[in-house]
Amino acid sequence: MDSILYFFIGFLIMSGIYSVFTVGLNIHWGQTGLFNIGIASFFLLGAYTAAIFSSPSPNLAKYEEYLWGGNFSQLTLLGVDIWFPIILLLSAFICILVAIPLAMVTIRLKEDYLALVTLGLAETLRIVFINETWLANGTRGMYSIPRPFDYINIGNYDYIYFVVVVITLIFVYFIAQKATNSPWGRVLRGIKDNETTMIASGKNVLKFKVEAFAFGAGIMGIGGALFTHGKRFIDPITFEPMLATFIIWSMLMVGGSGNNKGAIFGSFLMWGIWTFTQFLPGFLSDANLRFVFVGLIIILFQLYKPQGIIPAK
Amino acid sequence: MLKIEEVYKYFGGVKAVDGVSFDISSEKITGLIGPNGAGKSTIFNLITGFSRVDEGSIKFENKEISQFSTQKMVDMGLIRTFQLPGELKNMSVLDNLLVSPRHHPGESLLFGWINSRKSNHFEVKNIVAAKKNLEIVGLTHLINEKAGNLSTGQKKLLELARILMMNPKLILLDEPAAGINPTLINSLSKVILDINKKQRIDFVIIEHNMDFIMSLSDEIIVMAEGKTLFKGTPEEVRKNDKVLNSYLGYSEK
Ligand SMILES: Nc1ncnc2c1ncn2[C@@H]1O[C@H](COP(=O)(O)OP(=O)(O)O)[C@@H](O)[C@H]1O
Ligand SMILES: [Mg+2]
Repeated sequence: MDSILYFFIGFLIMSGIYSVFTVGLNIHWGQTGLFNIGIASFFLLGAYTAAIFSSPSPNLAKYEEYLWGGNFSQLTLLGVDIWFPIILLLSAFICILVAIPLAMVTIRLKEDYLALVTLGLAETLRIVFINETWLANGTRGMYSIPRPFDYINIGNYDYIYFVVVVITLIFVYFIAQKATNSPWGRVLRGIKDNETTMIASGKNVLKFKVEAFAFGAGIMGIGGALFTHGKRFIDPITFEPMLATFIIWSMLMVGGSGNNKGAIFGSFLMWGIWTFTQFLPGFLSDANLRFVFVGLIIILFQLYKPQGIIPAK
Repeated sequence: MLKIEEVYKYFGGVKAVDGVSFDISSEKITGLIGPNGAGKSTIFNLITGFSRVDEGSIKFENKEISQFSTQKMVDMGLIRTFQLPGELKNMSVLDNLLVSPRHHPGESLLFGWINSRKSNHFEVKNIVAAKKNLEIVGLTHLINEKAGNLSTGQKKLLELARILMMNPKLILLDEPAAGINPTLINSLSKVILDINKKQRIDFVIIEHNMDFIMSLSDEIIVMAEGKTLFKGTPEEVRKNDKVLNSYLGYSEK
């Protein structure tokens, strides 16, 4: 009985982490119409930032080539772990730092370039982390990544991390809601509806798009950091497009593009489908077939319910 | 108030605007007519910063503006529409208006949170202005309707209300009467006159509908093949041979 409960908690943790990415994507696509098909870039950057900065300094016995660990996990204030929120913000910050110049250069050029560049960056970053072994231990990956609040002993650590994920998700949802419902968010919706009108109204459309891209990327970075400390192991394969970009798109499409609640609902639903289809009998549980299944759901939704289950207001 | 001198704009071999000069005086409605491809919309693009002149000068209130950004021109009160209605289709009529004014303190991602009191104050002021402007164009009853659900004519009226939110001095309308039914053409006409007289906002209007433009305009500029052909009152335009030959054949269609 316990094992089913643990499995279920694990499922909720992953759904919660994916919800963070989907809320980020909703800022990009649902709100502003920015076609980011390289979510994996920010997933990866957030995840590696968290892993590198929280890990201890290199231990030659463990990592042969790996050079530098930030060792932030030693940071405490009055005996309380304060490093974890700092790591989350740091991951967001690194993503924002990459997103701003990327958006400034590509959005200025032409709409479709953003798709190409985000896709290209995601694969490039993966290759960089494979080849530059000094950075994060290459294909062997980073493991034994520190966990927040692990001195609290209540039997199964997953309960604690579940609470951490829920609190982080509430925080992310709150700032995303506040931003999208603000006059700033209203301009983004205007841009999505009719960019020319917004230019003719004297809005600095490029600035708004860059801000939206950076904001969404920062949220994705937080998702990446959450993932790292939940799994405690990451390697470049973790960030292959299927589970680091494609499935997040399916979550937004199914849940309801343009609505943060829809984004979160879609994340739980699609992660549920992804998780529970692995128990299908025989060849049906083949991973590739499950991807095809996810693709099919996207297509069906595009055809019959393009606004998703919880549509934008 | 608007002075265009020897303006040129070529697209490869196409001489879209080929040495155009005219000026528009204050407190007037000016019609800009001419066959398709005459260069009328291109002139609007040049005036509003959507396109840059190859040569020539554009002055607004004695300031050279031909190199200004659209943002700066909007700040100066120079605001345009396009041939296609530019409504924000998934947003309510009210939101279409509220999103329009520039320099909203709440439109800053970083400072919107800090400035929330200033932002709320601005927002409240805008809601009052929005209601007033919807009344002027007669769309008060549709305030909460999605803009995409309006008829073409209502969308054009909405556009006028949207522009009024931006403190315009000169409004440039590109074919406002195109594709809308006669009843709404009449209300559009009335609304434009009303805005012009009561608020002393000037208009330049590109239009093919001759009844509409002739009855509305104080002055008419006729363009053909990238050049200005004639400028005068509607009466003079009607009587002018050059215009008759090159253009009025078109208007009878
Ligand atoms: N961006 C552009 N690129 C190439 N040709 C253009 C462009 N804009 C306008 N033109 C050409 O310039 C001429 C004038 O166009 P336009 O100003 O739209 O005419 P009008 O509004 O009077 O019908 C046309 O021949 C048109 O094809
Ligand atoms: Mg035109």
